[in-house]
Amino acid sequence: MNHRALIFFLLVIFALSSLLFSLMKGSTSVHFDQVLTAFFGQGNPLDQDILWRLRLPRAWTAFVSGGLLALAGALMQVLLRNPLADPYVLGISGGAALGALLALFLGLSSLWLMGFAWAGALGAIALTLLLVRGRIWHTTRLLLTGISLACGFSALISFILLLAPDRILHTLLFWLVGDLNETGLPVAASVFLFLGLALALRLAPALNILARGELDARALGVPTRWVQGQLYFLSSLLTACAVSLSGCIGFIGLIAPHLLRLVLGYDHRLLLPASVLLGGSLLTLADVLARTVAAPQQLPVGVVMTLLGVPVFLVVLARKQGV
Amino acid sequence: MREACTLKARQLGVQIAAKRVCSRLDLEIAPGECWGILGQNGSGKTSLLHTLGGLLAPREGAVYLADCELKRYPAKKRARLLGLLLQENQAAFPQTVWEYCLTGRYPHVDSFLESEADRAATRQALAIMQMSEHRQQNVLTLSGGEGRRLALATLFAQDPCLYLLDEPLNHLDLRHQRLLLHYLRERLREKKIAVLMALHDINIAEQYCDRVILLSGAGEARVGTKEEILTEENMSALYGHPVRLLWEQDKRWWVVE
Repeated sequence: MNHRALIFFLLVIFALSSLLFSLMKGSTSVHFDQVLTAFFGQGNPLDQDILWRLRLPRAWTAFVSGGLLALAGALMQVLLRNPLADPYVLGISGGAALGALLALFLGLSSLWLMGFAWAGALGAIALTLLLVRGRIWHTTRLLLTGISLACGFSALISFILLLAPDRILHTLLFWLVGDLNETGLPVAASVFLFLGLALALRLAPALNILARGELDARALGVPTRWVQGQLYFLSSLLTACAVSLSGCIGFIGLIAPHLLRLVLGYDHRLLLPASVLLGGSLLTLADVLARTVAAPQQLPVGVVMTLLGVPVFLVVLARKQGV
Repeated sequence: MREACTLKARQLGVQIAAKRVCSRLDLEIAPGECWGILGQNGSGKTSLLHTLGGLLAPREGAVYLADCELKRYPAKKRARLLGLLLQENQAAFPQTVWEYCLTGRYPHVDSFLESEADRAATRQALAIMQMSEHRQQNVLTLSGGEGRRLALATLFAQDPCLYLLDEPLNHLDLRHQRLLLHYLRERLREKKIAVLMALHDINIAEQYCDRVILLSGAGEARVGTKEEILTEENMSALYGHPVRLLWEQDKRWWVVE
């Protein structure tokens, strides 16, 4: 128990320092003491502007998106009983992106964008559940289904992009690969993240059992339909929220829970909040990389995350027994 | 408390797809009683257990737990009284033996964290099945028999008063088979629990059960005392193979020809 408390404490420190690091790094570096003075509303107005208007919203958006995706991933892994489930790999993000793009294409408001994205994510999970239905949910079957769905969605997305007029095409493309430019403070998404985490924590004891299988869970008194229903709505909502915030960013939902299971063990009461912290920190750092590696050119953070995520995914797949 | 442990079936009909398991079955399992279910492969032992355990809805009739219809129980309340050992347990995620066993307390825990009493019950349950030294082991690395002992320990941590066991001796070595059966017998003698188990070994039914349900495989179920049901004629007909009864002083042994 003690070593878990220590790991949790380290995760909080890691999250805070990744946010601080993100505030300091960029096309102009800001020193730690400058960050501090600007934070308390003093010092040079340019520093204050950079910090409050540019860096902070961006760092926090990255953190919230990462947290949302990691939480969605951890929940999907229980729903589909497979440690390789990830919103991006299984095409759930694709479904949400298709919905969101459709809303953007039709010129609808941002509220509609969120609704369309959620509808897309719900539809994608429903399709996956329908297609993978069987006694045992094989990894191969799940992954193949997810990959085919992702291909289908990406074809539809390409179709929309081809139809899109030139003036919005660049925005659509950048958003699609995961873009954190020009973001304000994501208030709604932050609320969704905290509410989602609170709801998920209430389910956590049941999730510890549900991952073993439906029959086991029912025998132990878990109202499985009710819990699975909540998991389904929650994970799709979180994915849709992340996608409408920052586009399609992959592998956070896979990497964060996986790494944490190695060090924290398997208790969702710890795993879920820890996933939010680690997912948020990882994406914040990936965003710093995206901003600085090819500066002044900015890379989409989704590209960076995918480049980091693919090797981890392959390693997990190769050693699935030991996950 | 005693009343809480009684499981009744009234005019129970169980059917899986087109296959009839039993119809118009009446039975009443009281505290201190040990029941066995015998039948060929595919005769519906598991389906009958799952129906009596509330995991399957009965085709006809009803199951009552403590005089209240089983399907009216909220899942958690049911699991406090009635525990089910499944034929096979599967683990998809790495968990430690301790974490796995602690989940047996789920029906008793209403707060976010388990209490010290829950942890004590879990420690005791692991000790009963001699799994204490495996506490920190990953469940995915357990052998078949160890996994079975863990499933049984989890059931003891759940601490129901009715035990429905689907082939409880599967994968267990001889010593652990006896360990389990003697533990159950002791609890039965105190009239704290009632047991219903699906079995393949007539000798176990002979030595440990008071009453036996015989599933013919053709949709008929017979219920009776051990002496009524366990006869050479019945057993040979049930398995389609000659089975003989041998007497050794006052002990009865079943031998396959």
